[in-house]
Amino acid sequence: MLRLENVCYRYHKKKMDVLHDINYNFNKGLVYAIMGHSGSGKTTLLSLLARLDNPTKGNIFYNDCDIKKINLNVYRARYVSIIFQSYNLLYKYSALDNVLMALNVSRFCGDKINHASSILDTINLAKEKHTRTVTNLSGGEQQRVATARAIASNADIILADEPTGNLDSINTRQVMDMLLGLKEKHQKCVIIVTHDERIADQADVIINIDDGKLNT
Amino acid sequence: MYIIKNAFKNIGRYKLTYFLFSGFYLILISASVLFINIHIFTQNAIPEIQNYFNSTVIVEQANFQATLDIFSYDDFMYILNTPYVNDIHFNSFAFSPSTLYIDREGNAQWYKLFDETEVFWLSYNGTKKNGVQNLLRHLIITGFNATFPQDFSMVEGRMFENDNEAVVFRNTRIACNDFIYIFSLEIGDTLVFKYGDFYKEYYIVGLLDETTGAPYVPILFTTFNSAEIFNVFPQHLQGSVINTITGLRIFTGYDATIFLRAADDFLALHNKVQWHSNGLYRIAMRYRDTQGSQLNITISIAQISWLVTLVAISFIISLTIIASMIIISNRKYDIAVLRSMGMGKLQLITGQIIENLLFVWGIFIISFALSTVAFIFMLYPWLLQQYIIPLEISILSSALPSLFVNFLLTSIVAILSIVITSIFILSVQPLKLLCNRD
Repeated sequence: MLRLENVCYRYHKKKMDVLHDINYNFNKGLVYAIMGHSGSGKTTLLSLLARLDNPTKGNIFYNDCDIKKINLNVYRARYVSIIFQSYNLLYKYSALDNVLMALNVSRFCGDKINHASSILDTINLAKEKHTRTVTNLSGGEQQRVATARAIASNADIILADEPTGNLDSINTRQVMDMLLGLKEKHQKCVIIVTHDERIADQADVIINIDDGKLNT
Repeated sequence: MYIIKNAFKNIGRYKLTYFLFSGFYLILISASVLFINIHIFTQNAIPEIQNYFNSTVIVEQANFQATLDIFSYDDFMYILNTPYVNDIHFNSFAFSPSTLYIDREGNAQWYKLFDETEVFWLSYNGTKKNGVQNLLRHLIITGFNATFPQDFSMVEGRMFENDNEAVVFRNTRIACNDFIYIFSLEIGDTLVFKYGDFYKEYYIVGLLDETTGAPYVPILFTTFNSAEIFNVFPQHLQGSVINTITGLRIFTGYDATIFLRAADDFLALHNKVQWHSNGLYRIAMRYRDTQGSQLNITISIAQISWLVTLVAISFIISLTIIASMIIISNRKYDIAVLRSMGMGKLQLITGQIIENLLFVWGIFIISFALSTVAFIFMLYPWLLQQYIIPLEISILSSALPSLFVNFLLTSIVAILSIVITSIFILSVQPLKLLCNRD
């Protein structure tokens, strides 16, 4: 589904590649856990997959099509969806509006409000909190809203950058259940960057980044 | 569609920022507009004339026997409607022609209306401070109209013979405190005139039809008593058809006629304050010419007004830049999130432009409405008491009309905010703002 070919990445004004000559296939219906020490390039890899950044060398293919040839906005809106460690919600918006915005951006056709509401129901957010501004939600709830937003875009690839990094164990379990559910119910490709081995253990494939290379 | 909806919602979401800046804009734009309007007035002030009107009793004398249509006599109306003219005697002379009328049998009758004595037919003496309606209470018309229709026919009844009889034109329309909107007077109807202690009833004994086009519809009375006074007060100025009748006479002759004039659309005239003040300006000019005094009338609107506008514009520009930067820097993070979700730059700019336009147009409408209301109801009456303005100076047609200034300023706000917003949006990089690459 998502194929990396000879992907290299070097930070501006740095001499060494942070990612070096990476070749890898991410397939749908699987959960990948990317692990590695700080500065190993986990988030960088994720940002390349999300096309928030471009590789210095090499190419990334989505269903055998070079992602550079896909319209950037279309790619971000429909093919990949990101869950950030710091949630990155629209903080002046309500939970419902956050999800609605994802539906609008991905050009969802149908009753958006009902659909957004049903997605928020699936992440177990109480009805009365749907219209609450996200800053008035707890950290766990915010992360669940971020997950709901990712679900709403109906992208094939879900990229999660330490989605449970700021959560307690209960919320961690809830978020992980949701991500695993995406794989099982919707055959999504879920790629999780994590430091937490307990999270990684739940993944189908664990990838370590070491010296700029991927080790499965 | 959701872009527009979201723009509306965003104004609510960022209401504090918008509220603060709209307040600044509102004050700045309204103040500029008001200042310019004041300036237009001050540029055209004729203080000497103002003093003149305040301290002098004007005696306007004109041979206006041709008509009792005082309301079409501009200078009278100008004075009448200018608030700071304290006291005026307004006199005109009338002559008493004779005229023909045709009786019911179709015979021409020579009816001498008046002797040839010159009389004041119109005199005004009173304060104007309480408004036009109250002014008219003090208005006295003496004499009669020489332009009585040259041909009229007695269509019913007879000519008056006693001092409590009157003939009226069939289409006489009257409004006053005692008989209101009588549109179809008939023989036998009673007209009651009261003025102070004076009280008199008149019985209609004849109906006339005018055959020439007199612009008004008189009532004819006869009386054998001299020095009778009639006055009908304009108590019913509301309404648009017939508003006022003002009539009074002091006669020394035998038969006499008094014409009661119904002034159509008096309220409409009353509302045209500017028109009146323009007339006063004209009178002022005449005064200047006759007195030979060198009144300082400087109409150099452009210079200071433009300076004021430029200052306002520079303030607006500065404020807009600051406002846009603050608003957009608060949004930088949101923009990054939306970009990461796949929203295009064009979409974001469009959304922001719609939001800005809504905001700016909101300010435009509110500030224009506020400044206009403040100007018309507060400033303008005050200015009218201070200055005299010529015809060509009006709110909307002056060199710097408030609408133009308002539009100019808000356009600058809109364009600048759009440009700045677009630059900011294009410069936002989601990667730097959203990803914590350790």
